[in-house]
Amino acid sequence: MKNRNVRTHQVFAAGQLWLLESATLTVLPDGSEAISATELNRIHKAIANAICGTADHLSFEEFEFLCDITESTFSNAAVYLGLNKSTVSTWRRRGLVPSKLVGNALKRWFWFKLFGDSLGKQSLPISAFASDLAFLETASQAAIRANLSDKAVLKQAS
Amino acid sequence: MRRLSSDRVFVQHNPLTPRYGRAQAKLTWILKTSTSLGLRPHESAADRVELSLWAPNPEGRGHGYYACFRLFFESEVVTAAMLFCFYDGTEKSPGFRDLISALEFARLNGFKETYEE
Repeated sequence: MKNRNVRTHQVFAAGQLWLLESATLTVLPDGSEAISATELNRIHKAIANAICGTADHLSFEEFEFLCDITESTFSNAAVYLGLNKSTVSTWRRRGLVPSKLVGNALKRWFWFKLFGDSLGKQSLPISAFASDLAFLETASQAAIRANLSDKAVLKQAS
Repeated sequence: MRRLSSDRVFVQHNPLTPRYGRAQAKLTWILKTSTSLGLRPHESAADRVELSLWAPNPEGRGHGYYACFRLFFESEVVTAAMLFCFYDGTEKSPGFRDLISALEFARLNGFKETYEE
């Protein structure tokens, strides 16, 4: 099987179109081009890190994507927040996690699931704790600096 | 298929759609939790067969995930698997809430529980 590296790669994930600087496609014996689970894992981690690195409202599609990537259920997330599972159904109907505070708590939770083992005990400057946005941005950049995540850029919101 | 390493399991490169994106994101869940619905021979090549699967929705309700993989063989050993079809009830795709309805659909599409060359 031959690999083909592409310079820019577009991925539809979490209800949005993302751009990555590179990706590897594989040509299978029947001639179809495909993307391996290893490569998808790298790409999805980059997108998850990008979602977690902002303090914007968390859309329901982003929430579902982060659950998929971290192998968490909606119930796990609800339990973490001390909420009833039915609250998640309300988020689904509305299409987003309505409270930014709750959305940011979830982003922190997902980020630590993805990168906490490697970076969870790293010290950060006090300025990183000035706000949710400061912390989430610092954490996201730390994952990129440590080569645990590539950079994914949002190309187009759906 | 579950014994294959992650660099041997693929998703076919397809046009960008939300459903295709979800197929990629749900690959791990499908591999971990799916039930085989049957096999069918590939149209033209003897070194590959197609496998249909159904995985329940992780939340325990709603449409599950119906997927088809093409399995590639070398000396009767599976060397790679590629997901080429994913239905979850969105974008007018068929949706299956339970294993039985998915099994019925797979049979209608030529998948059999026992495979004969």
